[in-house]
Amino acid sequence: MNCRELEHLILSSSGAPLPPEAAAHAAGCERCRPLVRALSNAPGASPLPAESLQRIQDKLTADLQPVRPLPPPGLLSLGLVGVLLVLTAIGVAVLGPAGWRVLSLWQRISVFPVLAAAAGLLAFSLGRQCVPGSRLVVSPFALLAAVGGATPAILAVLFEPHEEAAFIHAGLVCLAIGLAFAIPSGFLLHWVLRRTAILNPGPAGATSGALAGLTGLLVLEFHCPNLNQHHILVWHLGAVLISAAGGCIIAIRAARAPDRSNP
Amino acid sequence: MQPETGNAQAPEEGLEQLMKRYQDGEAAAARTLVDRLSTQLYLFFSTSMGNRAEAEDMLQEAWLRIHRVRHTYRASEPVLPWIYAIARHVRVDHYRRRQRIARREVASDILPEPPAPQPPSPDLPSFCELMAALPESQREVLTMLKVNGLSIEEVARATASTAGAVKQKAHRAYDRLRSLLETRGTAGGGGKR
Repeated sequence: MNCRELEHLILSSSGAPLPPEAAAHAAGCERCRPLVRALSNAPGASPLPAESLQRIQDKLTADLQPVRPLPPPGLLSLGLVGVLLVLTAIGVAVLGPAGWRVLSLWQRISVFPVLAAAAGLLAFSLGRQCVPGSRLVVSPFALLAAVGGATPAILAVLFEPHEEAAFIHAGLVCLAIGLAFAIPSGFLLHWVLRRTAILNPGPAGATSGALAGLTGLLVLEFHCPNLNQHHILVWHLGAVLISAAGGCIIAIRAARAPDRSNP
Repeated sequence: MQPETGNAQAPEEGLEQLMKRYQDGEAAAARTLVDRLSTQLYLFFSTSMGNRAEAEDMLQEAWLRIHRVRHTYRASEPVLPWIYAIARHVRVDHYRRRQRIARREVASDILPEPPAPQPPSPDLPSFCELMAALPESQREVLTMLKVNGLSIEEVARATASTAGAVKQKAHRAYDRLRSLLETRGTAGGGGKR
């Protein structure tokens, strides 16, 4: 038994006494003894004034009505993905699938599953971020970093760079199209999440924004026939980046507004 | 390691059933939940803020928020992380508000009070004194683990974090506490690391 092992035991022992070996180490170790003693001095529960409890109970029960619980997390995530699919379908129907036609078979079977996987992961994460006390397998920002790193890397492998005369002009058109679909997607995502309780607005807003931006990216991949790697990385992915940053900023500002519905 | 745990005081299964009945609009369930969880929540607030009056305000605010978002509790999930996630948010909001006021006001009498002193020990700083020396995120994790008796998984859920991140924060907190205790002369010599 060493000091680090004792720390592991202290961490995992939810109030239970230490096993004899650990107690023996704590008794003999000059570094662990004061720590164990200090932690065992944790304050105990002190009685609350009865009138305080009564006041809280009265407030809670004064207007108590049955409420409809949120749907299961999977259903919430499906709703988020549904928004993305519906808007992408509308985008393809309105703008046409010129981009899809010029893609090679390899590009078709790579680009769209990658984007679908990114959307699925973000929707899964967002569905949990919006419910207090949910279990998170990966931290939201780590997931955003992973998706934000992997997607451009895969797109960079799938497309070749080449010279382009109207790089900025053509790019701005694509960026505008991407954002034109990202913005309504953001509103619809917000509508799907309207009954949830977002406690950490920064990560939830960024995830929501990235998901909305993916709508724009999907529409562009179906619609835009420009296969220049630089065009795709800068302007198509730019819509996702701007959308994620915007989502994060808007969510934080909304949360700091004095009159807010979320806790 | 601590007098009582959140789990020991309120069995998880019972809390889940109470929450379900609370969602169904049963006043008795709401009253029982307040009875059973308020002491632990009050301890959570008073350990972090060190001020009984503020802790009482925060307790009331926490219950109002719990009431407002009670539909977000899912019957298949544990209750305590859901409750503590909301309580933690109340505490963070309160802390930010206090910081804003402290920045605006010059008068020192409105600054936060130091944590309430614990029963004196001849050679050991009080628990609250030690907690006050920790960074906010480490203090929060250690309070939930050692004062409220939550498990690592429950703390991870309540803090929207992962179990690995909670363990890391706790180990860092222990390292800091060791250094603090050594500096204060309550420990001397080398360990068996």
